[in-house]
Amino acid sequence: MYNFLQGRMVAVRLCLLGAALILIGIGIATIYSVGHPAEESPAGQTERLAVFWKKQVVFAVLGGFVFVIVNSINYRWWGTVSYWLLAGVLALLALLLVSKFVVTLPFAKPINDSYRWISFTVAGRTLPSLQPSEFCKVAYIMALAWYLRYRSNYRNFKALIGPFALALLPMVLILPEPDLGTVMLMMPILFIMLFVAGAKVRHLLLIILMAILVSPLLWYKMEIYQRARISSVLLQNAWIREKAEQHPAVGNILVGTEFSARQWKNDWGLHLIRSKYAIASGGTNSGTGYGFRRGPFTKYGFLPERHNDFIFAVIAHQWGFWGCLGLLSLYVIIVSCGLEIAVNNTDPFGKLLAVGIVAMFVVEVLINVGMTVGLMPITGLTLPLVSYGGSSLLVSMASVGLLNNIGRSRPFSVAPKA
Amino acid sequence: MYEKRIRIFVVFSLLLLAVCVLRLAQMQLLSASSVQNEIAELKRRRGQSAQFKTIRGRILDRNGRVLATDQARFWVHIDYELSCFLDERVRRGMLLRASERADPEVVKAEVNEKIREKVDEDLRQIIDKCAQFRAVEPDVISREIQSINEEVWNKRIIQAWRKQFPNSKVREYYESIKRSVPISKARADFEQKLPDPNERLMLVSKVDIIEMHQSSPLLELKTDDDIFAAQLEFMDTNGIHISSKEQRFYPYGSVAAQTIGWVGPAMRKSDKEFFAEEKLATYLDGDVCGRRPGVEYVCEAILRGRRGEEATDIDGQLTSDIDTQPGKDVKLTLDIELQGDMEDYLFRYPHDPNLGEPGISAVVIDVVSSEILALVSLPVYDLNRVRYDYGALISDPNRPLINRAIKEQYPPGSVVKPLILIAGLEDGLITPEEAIDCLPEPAPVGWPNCMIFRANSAAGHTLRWNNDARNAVKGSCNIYFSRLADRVEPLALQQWLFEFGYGQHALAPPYSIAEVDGAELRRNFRQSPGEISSSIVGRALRFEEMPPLNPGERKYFGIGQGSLRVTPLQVANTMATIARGGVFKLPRLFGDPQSSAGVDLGISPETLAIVHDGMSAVVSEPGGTAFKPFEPFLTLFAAAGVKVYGKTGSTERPFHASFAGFAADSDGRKIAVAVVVEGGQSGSRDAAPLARDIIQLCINSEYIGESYFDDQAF
Repeated sequence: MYNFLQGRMVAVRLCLLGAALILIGIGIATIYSVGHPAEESPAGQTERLAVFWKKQVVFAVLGGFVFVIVNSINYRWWGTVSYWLLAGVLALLALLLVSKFVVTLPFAKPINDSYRWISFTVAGRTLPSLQPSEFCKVAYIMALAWYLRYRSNYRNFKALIGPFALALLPMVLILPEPDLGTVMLMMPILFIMLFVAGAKVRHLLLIILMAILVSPLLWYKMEIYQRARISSVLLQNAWIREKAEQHPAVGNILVGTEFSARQWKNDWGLHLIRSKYAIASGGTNSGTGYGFRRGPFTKYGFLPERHNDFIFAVIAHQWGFWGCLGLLSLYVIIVSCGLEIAVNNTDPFGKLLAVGIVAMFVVEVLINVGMTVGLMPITGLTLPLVSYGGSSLLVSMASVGLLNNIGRSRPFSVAPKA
Repeated sequence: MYEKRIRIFVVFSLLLLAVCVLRLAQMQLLSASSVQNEIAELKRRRGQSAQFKTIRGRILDRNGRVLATDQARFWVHIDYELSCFLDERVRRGMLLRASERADPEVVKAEVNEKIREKVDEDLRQIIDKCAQFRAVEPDVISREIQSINEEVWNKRIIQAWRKQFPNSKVREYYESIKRSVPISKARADFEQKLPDPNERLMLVSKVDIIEMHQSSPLLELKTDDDIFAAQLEFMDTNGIHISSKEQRFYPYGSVAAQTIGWVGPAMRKSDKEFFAEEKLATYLDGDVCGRRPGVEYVCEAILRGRRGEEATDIDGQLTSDIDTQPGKDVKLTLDIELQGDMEDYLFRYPHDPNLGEPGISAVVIDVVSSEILALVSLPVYDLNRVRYDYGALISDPNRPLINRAIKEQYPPGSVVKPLILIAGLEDGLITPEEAIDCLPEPAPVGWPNCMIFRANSAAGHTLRWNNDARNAVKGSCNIYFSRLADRVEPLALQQWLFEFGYGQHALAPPYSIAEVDGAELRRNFRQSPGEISSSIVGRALRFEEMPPLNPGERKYFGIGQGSLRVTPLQVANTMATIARGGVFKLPRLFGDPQSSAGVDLGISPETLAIVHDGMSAVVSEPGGTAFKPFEPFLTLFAAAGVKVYGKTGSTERPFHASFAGFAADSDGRKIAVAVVVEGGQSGSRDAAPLARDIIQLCINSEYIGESYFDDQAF
């Protein structure tokens, strides 16, 4: 349990762990700052946020334990149980669906009309709720890596049915919760893992082509608010908004109903507009931001979910452009270390697992940052290690733990290099 | 395999990361980016709350007397929460609501007690005190409180009706024409859809609107003593408080009302467009703007002023500190004392009882500077009350809101004859010596008869004197001038009239002062150009665009009838032009440092001498049409060194009496005068005495001649 640092590639793994810990620290500090702004804020704007940093500290400590536990057993063992882990998570997801569609279960009550959380009440105290879809990500990556460790499982087109089934099953279960973000995350991870594992490019392209052909159908099946979120990337542009308002057909394609710029500004586009304002106003002081616990978006509750999905905007607001660069470079360190570990591991499972985890970080960070700056649709994806959220933090720490685990172990199947 | 593909993945990820970083840099570091602009705009908008009020400039007369200024006025205000108890419907509503409670009898008794207390004690006291202050019967105050209640109650009805029937046809209709629903329509629709009065009362009682928590002005406190007394009287009275309000104040009340104009809340879209571009001048709620058609409106750009601003950004940081720029004063050429004396005199003058209260218009122009000294239009109205009386004023059949001196078009009648004579002499169509016979016989069919013949069928001008040019003016001979006008080419006749200012806007545009102050004036007075064609145009045109004059109509133009229409200001200005020796200038209402030299019409001195001679004979020779009213005053005028030249005018369709002329003194000072009495039968009887006394007033005000009062002092 104490020997998780022993093994190969100590420097790389220390960098990895250090960067992860710094990111968690930044996250806790930022969550603290929005609950305790330097200037008194109007009543009701920060009180709710005031305790979150403490919870996050607890989760960080728990995350440390998870890190250690993950490292206490060789990662290959985790591979052998990966199908079971996935099955367990899928069962939890199925329970949520039961709660949504059949009968509301006492431990799976909706929050904001979303059935994403499972929470147990023990002796009158509500334990922190868990988000199975978060755990699903890592279980899915492990199962996928375990499955793809045999070359025959992806070299011909028919064999790809397996991995896709592995991806589609959780996606189908998660989508109705609804949790568009996690679903959007899984496809890129699958593609990256298939690609790195060596699947034929033409097969992947064929699948992408099929997806593009099917997408209009999916588009029309989407809810209005989901469509509006995705088309908001286009609708930021005043010219497009104008056109969408003038031509009902355009508006109908973009949001599935009559488009009103006014409504967009007050409803669908609100998060995006506020997030952009928060980030852009952080350009003050020649790009170094307002400073810790300062700035209007820290003081006032203009930006919804600023401790969570939009924490990047708050960081950009407080620390400016250079602060953002620092934050992103920490992720670059994690990704570089992860890839270094992947490259140095000769075991296909270890390699694929490492790549899958790295891909997860890359996609999450890019989507989260992209959505706050208006380059990506707003999906409820968190910024790994930084955003508030127990499940997310535990999963991220488990992922970092797995990378550490892969990095330090010497696969038995390979002779040490001379 | 792995390494190569990982490298591709890395490159791909880095590309995406670079895009994100570039986007961040663009948003945060590029101050010209659209998001940064939006933020700046947001910050600025928040700062607007720290703006101060504008201070409107004053309007002054030529001697610096204040005609309009902002003044703090104190009012006793009454809260609706108190005044509503006087409303019987409100009381019934309270009882009705009480009866819906769990223990209706107890609550009803409580409500009844409260009503008794408020109505019988509090309100009774307040009403009595206010009545004492204003020295009126308590009923008057009660009625005023009721009208406050009525206004709020109507708003409550509308609110209740809208809430109950959000999709009514009436509402849809008025929304489609972008008007608010009139209370009568809303009420009718409400009653039709919900016939039970108790149900309606219940709904209205439940309405809660902001007006129900506000107070309304009840009693104006004019002096410091009043304010002090009111403070003492109402010191402990709940529901009553005294507060001040900046208000436009017109010290001269009704004098020159149409010219000065008034201010009202800037609510209309056309008002708000005026300063829409200028942040510190845009109209906010409660701001006032000049209302058409007076100086307040025309000079809005000068008078308005700019708000001061202490702009703080979203964090409370002071970003800019701009001092309030008071609006600039506007100085008019009017002499408000003279104008007031004239209005007073004209209003009191014992008119022919058949006329009733005639609309009268009178203009006095200083000939040398072409400045308008007085621009009278009767009846007038009180500028300090116009906002309250507007409804009555606009429906008044005497049309007090019209500035008759520049807006109303009259047939000039015989006052046009000097111009016809100038046209005939200058175009060589008649010589001063040539006489045209005016015999006691009817004129040919289609030609006007002479007035002298119509009064007495045995009379004709030729029987009295040699009917040559100067005598024709003196006797105002219709035969002479209709024949003469018929000789002038139609186009030439129009040209002469146009050059004298008929058919064009007479008042000099106010742009000249605007340039001085760097503000752009896009507004002008509402004035009529008159008509000098056979067909009605209704707007000012360039001469080339004028419709032609029907040759057959020239004979009527010769006596100022037909379709010829002019404004009193135009008439006065033709007289000023004649007095100036044929130099045309636009009359001005605003001081102009670069007084224009005017346009010399090129009239020969001989012609002018004949015209002057004739016009002088009108007032100072026996047989002149205005000799009778002027005769007793000629010695007085002569003592002051003033010589009067004039021309009477009477028209029949419609009936108007007019007099136009000018007076000159030995120092070369001259004033031009025009008077029009609506409904007047005879220029010599109904208008000439007024002009005579106006000249007298001008002498008293030392615009011309030497005042007799000075003489008497010695």
